[in-house]
Amino acid sequence: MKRVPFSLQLRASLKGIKTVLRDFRYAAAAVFFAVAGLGIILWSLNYSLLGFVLFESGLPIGTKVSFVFGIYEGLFGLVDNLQSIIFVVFAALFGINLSLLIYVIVKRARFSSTHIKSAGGFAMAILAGGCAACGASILAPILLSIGVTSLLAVHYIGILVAVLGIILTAWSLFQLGKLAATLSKI
Amino acid sequence: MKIIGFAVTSLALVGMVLFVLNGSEQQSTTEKLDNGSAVQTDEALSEQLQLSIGDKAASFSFIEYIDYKCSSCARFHKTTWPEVKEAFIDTGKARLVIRNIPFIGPDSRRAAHASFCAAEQGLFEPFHDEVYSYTHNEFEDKGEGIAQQDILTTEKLSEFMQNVEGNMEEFNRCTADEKYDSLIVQDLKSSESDQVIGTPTFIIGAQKITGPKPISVMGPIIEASL
Repeated sequence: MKRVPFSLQLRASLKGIKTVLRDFRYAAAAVFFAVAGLGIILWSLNYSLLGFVLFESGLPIGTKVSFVFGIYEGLFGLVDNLQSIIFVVFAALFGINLSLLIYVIVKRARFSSTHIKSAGGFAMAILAGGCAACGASILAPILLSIGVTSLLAVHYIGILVAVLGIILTAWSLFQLGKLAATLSKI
Repeated sequence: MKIIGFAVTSLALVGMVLFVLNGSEQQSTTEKLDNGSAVQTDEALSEQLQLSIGDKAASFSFIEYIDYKCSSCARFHKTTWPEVKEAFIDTGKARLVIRNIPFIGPDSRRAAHASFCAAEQGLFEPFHDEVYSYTHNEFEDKGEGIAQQDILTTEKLSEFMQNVEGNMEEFNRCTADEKYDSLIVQDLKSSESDQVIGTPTFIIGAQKITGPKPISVMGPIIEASL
């Protein structure tokens, strides 16, 4: 069997991504996931603080809200430029990736005999569906969080791990884009 | 609706994994602090020469673990610190205690020694500001990494001390003798008890903040802990 050239695969993948993001719902989901992904990275190592301030502190609601979203301020000034770029690039890829993942699963569910009818089913599909690209979508932010940890102590190892996270996400995006392109024709 | 359900579930999944990865470490720190066994500062010398900023009579104090060569610490000192100082230190609500964990380079330890020698003359705060102004303005702001270079030389540290009008003879003698080495060792031990994995790390009441954070994050934690 003849192997499809990489350039054609890439073109198909980009076309798939474009098709999905033209749908407002998926574009909005991508933005939502990108912002949430960035928050997950910036809050890493400090998640227990969220629990403390939100549920135990007794602070006013306005302070709690500004506390949760205030973490994004740290992206400018408290993190060096290279790290900021890595975080933003990753968050954008992560958002598009999860949006594509939803598209692929919804389309598959709609047209295959195995219907995924609930959110729990979605989770199971990610964990047990055997879709490597899907698993990568979930694993990458964890990898990047580990990168943030290392960044505090060993700068260059942190950058390396963060770059690996981006590569993993980009690969997942490429695979999901191809799947989306195929499914959009159905 | 289906999309929203999927979105929430997948986020919850990522959040759950990260919470499990993060949770155990944070809990043990809190337990240690609650038991009051994490910080052993009972040595007379340490009592006498605590590196701190703010009113010693303040009823609340929080800790910052630093390395003078840590670029994140320098950025924190230039951005968030003035706001924290204005809101909590200058108002007498809280006091900041600095603990040195010099791990980045040999000059980290040299600077840590020098900070104790400056404190001996009651000049810790201006000296501390001098060091971070130098690392931030001369290196961080210009995009130059400081980890690999020996920038906090004996001469440079003496220059900082001169800038803050310290007694140079005493300072030079103090740094040459490495008089306060035991206090650095004590700080390092405290950092192990507090499970500090990098700098800056803040211990505020029973909470631990890892990494530099903006005032909108630090403020509520301090406020809630007062």
